[in-house]
Amino acid sequence: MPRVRIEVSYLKGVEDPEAVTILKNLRDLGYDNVKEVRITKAYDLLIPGKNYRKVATEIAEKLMVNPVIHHMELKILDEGKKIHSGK
Amino acid sequence: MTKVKRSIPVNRRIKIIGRSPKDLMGISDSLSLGLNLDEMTQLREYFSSIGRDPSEIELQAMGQAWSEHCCYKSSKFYLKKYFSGIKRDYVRLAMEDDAGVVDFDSDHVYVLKMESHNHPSAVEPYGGAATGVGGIIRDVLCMGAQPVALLDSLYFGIPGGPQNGPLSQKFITGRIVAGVRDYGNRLGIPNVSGSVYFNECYNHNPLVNAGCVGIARRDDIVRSRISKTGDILILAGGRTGRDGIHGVNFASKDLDIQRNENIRSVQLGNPIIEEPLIHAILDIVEEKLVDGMKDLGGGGLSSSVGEMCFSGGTGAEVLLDKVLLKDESMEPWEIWISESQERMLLAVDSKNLQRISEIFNSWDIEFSVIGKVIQGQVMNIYYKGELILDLPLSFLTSGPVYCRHYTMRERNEATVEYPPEPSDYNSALRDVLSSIQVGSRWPVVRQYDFTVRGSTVVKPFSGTSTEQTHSDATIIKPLENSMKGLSLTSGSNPLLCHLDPYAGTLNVLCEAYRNILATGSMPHSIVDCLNFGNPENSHAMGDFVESVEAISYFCRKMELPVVSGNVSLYNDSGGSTIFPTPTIMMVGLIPDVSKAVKTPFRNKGDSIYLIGKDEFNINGSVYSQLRGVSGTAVPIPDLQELSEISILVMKGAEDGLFESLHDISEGGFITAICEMAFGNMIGFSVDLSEMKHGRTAFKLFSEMGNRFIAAVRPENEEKFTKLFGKIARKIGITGGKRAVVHDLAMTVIDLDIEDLKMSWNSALKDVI
Repeated sequence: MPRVRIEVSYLKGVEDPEAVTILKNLRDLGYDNVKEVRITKAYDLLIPGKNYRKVATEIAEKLMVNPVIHHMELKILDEGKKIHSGK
Repeated sequence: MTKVKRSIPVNRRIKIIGRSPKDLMGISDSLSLGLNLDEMTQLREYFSSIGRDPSEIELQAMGQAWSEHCCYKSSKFYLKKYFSGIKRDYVRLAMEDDAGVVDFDSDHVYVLKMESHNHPSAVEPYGGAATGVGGIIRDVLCMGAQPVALLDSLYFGIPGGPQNGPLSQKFITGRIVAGVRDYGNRLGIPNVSGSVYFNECYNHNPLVNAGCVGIARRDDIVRSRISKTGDILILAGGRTGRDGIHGVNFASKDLDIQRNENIRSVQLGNPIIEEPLIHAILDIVEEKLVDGMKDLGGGGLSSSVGEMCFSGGTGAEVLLDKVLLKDESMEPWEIWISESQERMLLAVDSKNLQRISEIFNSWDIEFSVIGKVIQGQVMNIYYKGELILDLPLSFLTSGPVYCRHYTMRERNEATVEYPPEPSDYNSALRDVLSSIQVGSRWPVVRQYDFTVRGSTVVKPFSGTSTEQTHSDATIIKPLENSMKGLSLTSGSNPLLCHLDPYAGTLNVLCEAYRNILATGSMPHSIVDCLNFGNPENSHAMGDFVESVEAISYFCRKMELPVVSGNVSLYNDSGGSTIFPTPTIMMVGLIPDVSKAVKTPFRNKGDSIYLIGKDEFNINGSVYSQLRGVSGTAVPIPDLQELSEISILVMKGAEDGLFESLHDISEGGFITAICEMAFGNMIGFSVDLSEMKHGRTAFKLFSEMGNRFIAAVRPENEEKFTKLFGKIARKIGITGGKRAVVHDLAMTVIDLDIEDLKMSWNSALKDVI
């Protein structure tokens, strides 16, 4: 059964408050050489049937991604292969 | 000709003097100024008169200042016409600063405001809604008040309705609720009251109206103005970035969600900065270190510095290099108009700088001194040693005023054919209770922390811990050592306002008034948040004017002040416009919160009374929507009756005569009484024969009139009937586990309360 990973990250230019807070805390802990933190959310879905690519894309577009701020990538985990990418 | 004192470097000037109309519009478009030809021509004439061309930052500043969002150019004329002169002596500040200030007791005031964040939420629902909450909190904070409660009125498209650009309705609804939830919960400010409404007119134009109430000592109130020359200007909190550039211009035109420019207007909000910022600001206020304060919202520094100095009769000198930036490559005009969140502007005496910096440092808040207050109403901005903006504030902040053409509705009073009575009232009732308009709001409300701070006395839901029902209004007890409470409600009825903006708005106001009364509190002040379509369309403008007229009439009659407000126009996109949506936030006072009255039935064997005269009109009701009837006449509510009832209800509450009390609104009489049953799962048996003559369906489902349902203990009945006289009629008794309704010796409804509650609970299951 294919395991599909939907990866969602912010587009360049969109400030991610969580990443900003982590970076600030790293500085407070003395890691001054860390220049940037970027966060990507990964959703792993187990989708039976042949339609898994379509279903995963649909789920991502309906519920997880706003193309105004997000970048999204779909990966088939078992094959480790990128099958679709887009804003 | 006015002589220029210093000169803007020639290489920074943009040539507009002598340019053709086509060129002027080309400049407005290419710089995203959002100004029309008339406004660009006014700018050209002005710069001709001072004998030089403007710099880019000057044009950008004018674009911000003259946007609908900042200067209310379409609404100002009418707001002034209808709202001036509504005054009460207990109001400290109304329609002047960032929020209204009203007396709470002899030492304290409460501060309140509501604002829309519609366009940002349509493009990025989570960030838009979250920053709406963040912004409204800062509006209350900048008056020197501790924010104590949040309210939110949300208007969504139909579940399963068409996509709004790339976004599904479920995404929009879910993410807006999440944004409101996360910002408030992370700050620890309870979200206690509000409303959720669905209609297809919001498919492409979801509305987010966020309100906030704060409490302050009367002498701690800080004005949003600077009158002391020589004060320094401090910018504190979040850094300034490219996020949220041109937000106000974008909010001042019809929305096109697909355009790439929207990305620059998106702000995600960072509550982790705002939380310590609130503490730091309140410490500074308590030590009386600040002379003037304003939050940065739409228009950024440009509008905050300008408005603060203009209203205080001073000017400002700003060094843009001193502003702390997220990105060092920002252009000066970007710094000046950025709408980055979590920022506050403070005007302070320089002798207080040392102590202020200690306080900010102890809360880990970044800040910098960005300029000083100068004599004369002028704005001077320097960047890297060069003067880049030099404008008189009277020109920069006053803005054009349009007395836009409007068309009043033509009333069509023709009677419509009502459908025959339903064959089965039981299923009609189930349909109404399980409709998205009436059903339980628990799936939304439970996401909000409504008890943090420990001062929520009447929660948005009341009843037992496992069985709860909607409260009419929420009550908070803002001060530790006082039993006095604030009751809060907000909402609208867009369909009624669509049928008749004047009568509809009056009904919205009456419902808010009844909600406050039903908790045993007396209405005290109003904030309006007016969401309408494109003001250049005379019909949309007519709806706006009628709605404002209704608010003005109501406030004069009921002697209630409008203390602050917000106007959001241009809510048109996807080829549709919204229904006129005046959200009314109302605040009431209750002398002793322990005497608060709640919705649910509490005992078996209580007598049920109906208060107020019957008004059978189902136009715009949930029942008629479900049956597909569309009569348009909306009755004007009887304000005299409401006034009389309010005196009796307050006396009854003070004497402890009510076991429970609930007003009749959406879903009609039967919905109201079922909601009373749901709190403690106590049934009822009532007879509608006591109502005035009419169809049974009208008796059950009409939403009109100033009606309340009260439950009274038998031992209090004598006192109760003596107090209310003919205004109240006994219609039944509480008890059992069933909802039983008779009309003229016929049993019209007989259902298990459990069954009805399941229908009511199921309404939003596919929505969120």
